[in-house]
Amino acid sequence: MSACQITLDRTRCAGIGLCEAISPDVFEIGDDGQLQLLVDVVEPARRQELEEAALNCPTQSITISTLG
Amino acid sequence: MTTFEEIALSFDDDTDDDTDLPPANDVVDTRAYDELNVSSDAFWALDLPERDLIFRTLREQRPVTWQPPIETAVAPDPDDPGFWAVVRHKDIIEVSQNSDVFVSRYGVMFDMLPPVFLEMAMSFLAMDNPKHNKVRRLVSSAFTPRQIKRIDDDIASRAKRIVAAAAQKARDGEPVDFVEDISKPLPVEMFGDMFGVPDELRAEVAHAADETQAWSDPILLGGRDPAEVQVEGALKIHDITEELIAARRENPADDLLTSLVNAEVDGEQLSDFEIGATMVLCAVAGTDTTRHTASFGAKALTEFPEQRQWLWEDFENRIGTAIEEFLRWGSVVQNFRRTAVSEYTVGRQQILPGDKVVIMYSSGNRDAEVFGDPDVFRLDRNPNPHIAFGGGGTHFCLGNQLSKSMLRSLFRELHEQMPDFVAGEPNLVKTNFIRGIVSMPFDPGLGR
Repeated sequence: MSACQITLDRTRCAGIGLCEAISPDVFEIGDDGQLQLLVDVVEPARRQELEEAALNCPTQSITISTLG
Repeated sequence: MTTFEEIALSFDDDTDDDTDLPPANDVVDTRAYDELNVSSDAFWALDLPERDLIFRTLREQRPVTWQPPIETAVAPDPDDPGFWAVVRHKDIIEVSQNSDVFVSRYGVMFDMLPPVFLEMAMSFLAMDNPKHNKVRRLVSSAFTPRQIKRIDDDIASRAKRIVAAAAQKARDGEPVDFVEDISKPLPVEMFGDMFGVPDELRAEVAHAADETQAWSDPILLGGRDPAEVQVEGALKIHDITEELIAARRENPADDLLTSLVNAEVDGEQLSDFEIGATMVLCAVAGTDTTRHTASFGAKALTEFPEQRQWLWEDFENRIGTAIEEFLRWGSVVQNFRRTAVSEYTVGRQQILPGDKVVIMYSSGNRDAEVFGDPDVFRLDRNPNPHIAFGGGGTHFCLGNQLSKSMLRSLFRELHEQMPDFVAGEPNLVKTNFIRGIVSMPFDPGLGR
């Protein structure tokens, strides 16, 4: 299985942070209220968790794709 | 100190933003109002279970209906043609997530409110992107899961103290009111703490916030003029904010008011008036909604003892799903409005530019296509995709994590300090916006 690539749409993201609640080591809302990716490639075993974060995003700003 | 009249005069109709509203379409006259009316005073005077019998028929038969203007609006508009009522869960989500089509800048309230009040109270709630995100982000970083986790212990110890004080009151033989003594103090303290409203002003701000929500409720108004009560409430918060802003300019503090004072949006600082409007919005959203959800939750645990028993048996592992059901069951924010700026079809109904669309969250939360036994209070409901925080999209409730943390702490203390409590008959708020509880006699059950 290949690694997961995370892509953010910063124009949509409202900094709500539900992704941060699911994967705090991947997503972080900074002091400026903007979402930052702490890593943008994550091991394949965590795909389900990341897809949950993407699905839960109220503004649909997170896309998970397969690397390579 | 500004008076109501001075403020009202400075906002005559010519200055309001409606000038760039898309032209109202001319097929309005051919639209018939649905025979099931969801604009009447009688409809909103019902409590949710009865009101939902009508919503249910609409969900099943006519999910998007054309409706007449609100029967008794706070500030009636004779040119108001009516609105589309969207009542199904999936359609509410579709409207909520399409904020390029269904915009907020022409207003988000279902009721017709005085334009001056809207200017004073809406802030980023009635903005669209990109501006919405820019203003919202000035405060949103304090509400993320990580930040709320940081203040979780503080919330827990406040809840412990508040519930202990109510228990003491009962031991002293004084009557306890669930709202006044238990569900209201915690959100008011947290709002004051985060935004930097000092202790001695918090009760005043909370009362002013309540006044802005009196709407046309005859009991809350007690014979006063609805528009005036609402504007005076917002004005009070603006006045207090103005004083606090001056203090923060001299002595910055670690609070959100200081962040707002120092912030820049597109290279410009916010005006005192814009900061005041943000404070009104957050004071109402922060002190009102969680309180009512907690009150409806306590009432439901009294009505459904087997649900209470289930929760009490394994509190820490069950409170997470229980809170989601408290939120669905309470459905405290009942609706918001959007305005279409382009043609769009939802629930097979064509919506035209300029049309008002009202999304009825409390109806979506009882949609049988999504929730099995929607009329049953079931704390183990999982998944529970309720829309108490909105149907997604950019306006999703900012305080969702804070609210859940407060609910968790409050119910933990009820479980530990007064597990046999009995909530009495609630005195309901009956407006077309907030479904709430003004007061509710409460027996902590300590003698049992």
